[in-house]
Amino acid sequence: MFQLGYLVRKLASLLVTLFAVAVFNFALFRILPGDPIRLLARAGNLNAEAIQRLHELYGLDQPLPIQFLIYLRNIATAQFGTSITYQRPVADILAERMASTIVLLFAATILVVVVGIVLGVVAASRRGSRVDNGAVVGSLIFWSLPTFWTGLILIFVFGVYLHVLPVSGTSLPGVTHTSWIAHAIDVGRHLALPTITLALVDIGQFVLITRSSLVDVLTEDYILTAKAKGLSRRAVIWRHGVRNALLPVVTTTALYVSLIIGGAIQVETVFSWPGMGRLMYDAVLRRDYPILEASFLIFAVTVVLANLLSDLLYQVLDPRVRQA
Amino acid sequence: MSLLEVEDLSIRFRTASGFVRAVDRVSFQLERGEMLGIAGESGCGKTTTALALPRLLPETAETTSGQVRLNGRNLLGLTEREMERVRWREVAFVFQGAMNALNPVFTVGSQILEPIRLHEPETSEEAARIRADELLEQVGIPARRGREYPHQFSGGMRQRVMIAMALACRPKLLIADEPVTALDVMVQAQILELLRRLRTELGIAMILISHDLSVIAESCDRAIVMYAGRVAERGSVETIFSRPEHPYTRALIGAFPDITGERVLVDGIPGAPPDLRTPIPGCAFADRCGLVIDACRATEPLLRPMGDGHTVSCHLAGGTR
Amino acid sequence: MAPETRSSVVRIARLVWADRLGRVGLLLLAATFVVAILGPIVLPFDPTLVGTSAKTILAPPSGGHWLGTDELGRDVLRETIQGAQVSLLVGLVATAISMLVGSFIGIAAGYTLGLADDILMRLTDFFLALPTLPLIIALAALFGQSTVILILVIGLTSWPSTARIVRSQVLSLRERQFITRVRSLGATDYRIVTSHILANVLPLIFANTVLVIAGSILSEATLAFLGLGDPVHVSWGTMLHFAFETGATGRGAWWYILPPGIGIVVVVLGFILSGHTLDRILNPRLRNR
Repeated sequence: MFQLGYLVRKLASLLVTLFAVAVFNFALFRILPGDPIRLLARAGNLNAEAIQRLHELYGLDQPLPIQFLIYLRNIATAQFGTSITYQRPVADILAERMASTIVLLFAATILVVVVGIVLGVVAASRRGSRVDNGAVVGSLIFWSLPTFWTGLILIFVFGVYLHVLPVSGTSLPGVTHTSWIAHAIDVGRHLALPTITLALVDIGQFVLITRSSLVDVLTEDYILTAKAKGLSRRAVIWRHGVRNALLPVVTTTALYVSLIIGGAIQVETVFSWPGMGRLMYDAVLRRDYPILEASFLIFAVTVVLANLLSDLLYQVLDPRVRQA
Repeated sequence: MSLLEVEDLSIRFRTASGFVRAVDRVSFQLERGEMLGIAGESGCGKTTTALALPRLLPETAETTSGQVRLNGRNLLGLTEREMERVRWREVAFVFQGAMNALNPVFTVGSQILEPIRLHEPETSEEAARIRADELLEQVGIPARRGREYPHQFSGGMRQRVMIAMALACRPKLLIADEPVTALDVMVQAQILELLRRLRTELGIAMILISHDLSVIAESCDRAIVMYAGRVAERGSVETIFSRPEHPYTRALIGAFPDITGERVLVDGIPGAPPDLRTPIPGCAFADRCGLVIDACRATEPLLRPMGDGHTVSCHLAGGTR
Repeated sequence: MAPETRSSVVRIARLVWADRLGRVGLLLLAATFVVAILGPIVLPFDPTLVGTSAKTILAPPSGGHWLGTDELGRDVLRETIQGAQVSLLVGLVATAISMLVGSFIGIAAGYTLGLADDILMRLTDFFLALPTLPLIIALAALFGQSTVILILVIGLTSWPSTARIVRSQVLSLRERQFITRVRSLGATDYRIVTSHILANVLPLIFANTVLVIAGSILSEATLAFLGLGDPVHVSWGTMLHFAFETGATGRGAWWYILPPGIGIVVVVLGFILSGHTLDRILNPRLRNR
């Protein structure tokens, strides 16, 4: 489907961007703050031997370019240093937390895409109606809500007052479940509030983008052609309209990923969801720089990869830009 | 019974500044296998009339009176559901400017298949695909190009695709709105030739809309000349072009240079069409007519038969030239 | 301000007012600014006025404290009013920096084209690719928590979107006839940019600014909530940080959690509604929506 030349170019571009991210990370966490030792370990309780080990590990007395190469090597071998707080390899900690965050992001994205697109389509196809105006105003309001505050409110309403959903952790602590279904349901109940909180802001954005995109598409000539063919209104809107309207939406993928990561950090914090977001929050409180550095790198790489995927997806969806 | 009978059709548009009477009591008939041309300057209501037939007008349009009878059945009285079955199967439309009339993300072949699958679901996949291929060949496009996308075709070829697509369900009536306007002269000739050939081979009745009289003169059997939403003159192409009675028709014909005739100065028609928001008491052309008399502004001229199916709406028809 | 500019500002303001959503937005903003400017004068907040006994800490609303007290026994109503100033200040100044940097880069790239444009755009795209919250968290954690640092961090990370919008506008302006004409009359680049390009880009920048302010205020609130706010100048986000950390949610202390949050929503919504309406007015393509 894709020409080899195009894929090669895309890959090269990806490598360049990843390299730039590494440079940026290096500059941010090693060069700018001045004294890296301060960041790599709590200076107070370091003896000469520990300092020596750090020097070896990171090549701190070497010239900067060499340090950078060592840095790259460390990244490639998943050697992200040792956490100051937990005194364990950062890579291990990340590995443990990643699954929880991925589950949360996945669930939220499904909710955002489904609800956002459906509502956006309904609003656009009934432009000017109360449904449409309500959808637009509602989306603008959702867009203004700080994710963390929404989480706090939901905890209040559903956790403290109504007491129907759990508000922290991934599952009930100290309970062993008889079957994996019971376990899945437990996790699901714990997943409910964080997912809804995370999805809310982005649903607002999705609705607005889908709606305005579809409103544009519905003015195109081929929509009238579809109607002239005798297609029902629903078929015209969904088969001909939405298919074209999704194209601009795909281009906002990178922005979406950046937003949802930011939201995940807040949601995991508020709901004590043990993922990478919560990890970053704790690391900030305790100034655990090795974790901060590694987390930032992972998030940045994720956005870059998401960008690439959305480019490829756009190629698939829009025949006009395909490299013939 | 004629294939198509349009009787007293009036359409107005809701706008911010009031109602615009785009079509005013238009009537005409079309027989099976006949090609009818609708001529007039832009804004005269010809496209609106055409779109009204398969009921494709936008929400802002209201049909205030009239009937559109296809084989005796008034299309204006049908529900939307019933219309969906009439569209394309009985009345197909080729739009003005095929540039954007084709969906850019679907292959050309699939867009031709779509109405077949919709209106004739009992047709097998295989049979449908064969028919789509044949349609492409019929309009002069190699069948294998059905796998390509609209942007890979030139303007003229896209128009052919539109025509192939329009024939997919073997309609009784094909309406083509300015089918050759955006194309260069050589391609124009090819497309018109194609339409004529298809009409002869398949016996489809056609309505051809154009502001370009030469297009209508070349291909149509009969023609209507519209002005300001009203029918100015109606008749066979031969009659209208050799013995035009309405001053507007004469001016229109005079406005197009004739390559074979004498060297004449081309007369543009001075003035502009009237504002369609206000009702016009007399003849709509009165302000721009060289032969205007008082009666023209006072009462609206009715369509007067001049014999041979030729009708004119002018107080002076049949009189001075 | 030149008279034509002033009258068009008035004209645009009137159009925003005429739109229902726009009017609500402007009213919300007016309310916020009144509270932020007059509030601390009418109801000043003294951070040293802490509670004396356990009963006065996280206490529900009462006659003495209309919105109850926080975890130190201080009056939530006055604290919320005070917080408005910090939140608004950081949001506005950070946006000013962001707009200046973004506009400058956008105009420079769009006008000069060539290598400079290439480099600037690659830089912009790179920054656009970095996830926002992790970036500002990292920067704030590394460089400190003073209000100044916060303003710089937020301002220097939100310019890319402005730069792109400005650049594409400049690009389309460049092609327009009048630029060629003016240049052929001998106008210098500097003059062309300042007189002609700026005038045409300014409305777009303005509409974008309003939305960026909303984002900056949200960023500040989020950073503060995550513990990176200025501990001296308490903003709404900081209030919520302490509310969260001291378990106000678990204790059901809604009076501590609602007011600062509502404050944020009111001002952000005010900017978003105004900006949304402004966008529709200034961007003719969007007018039919």
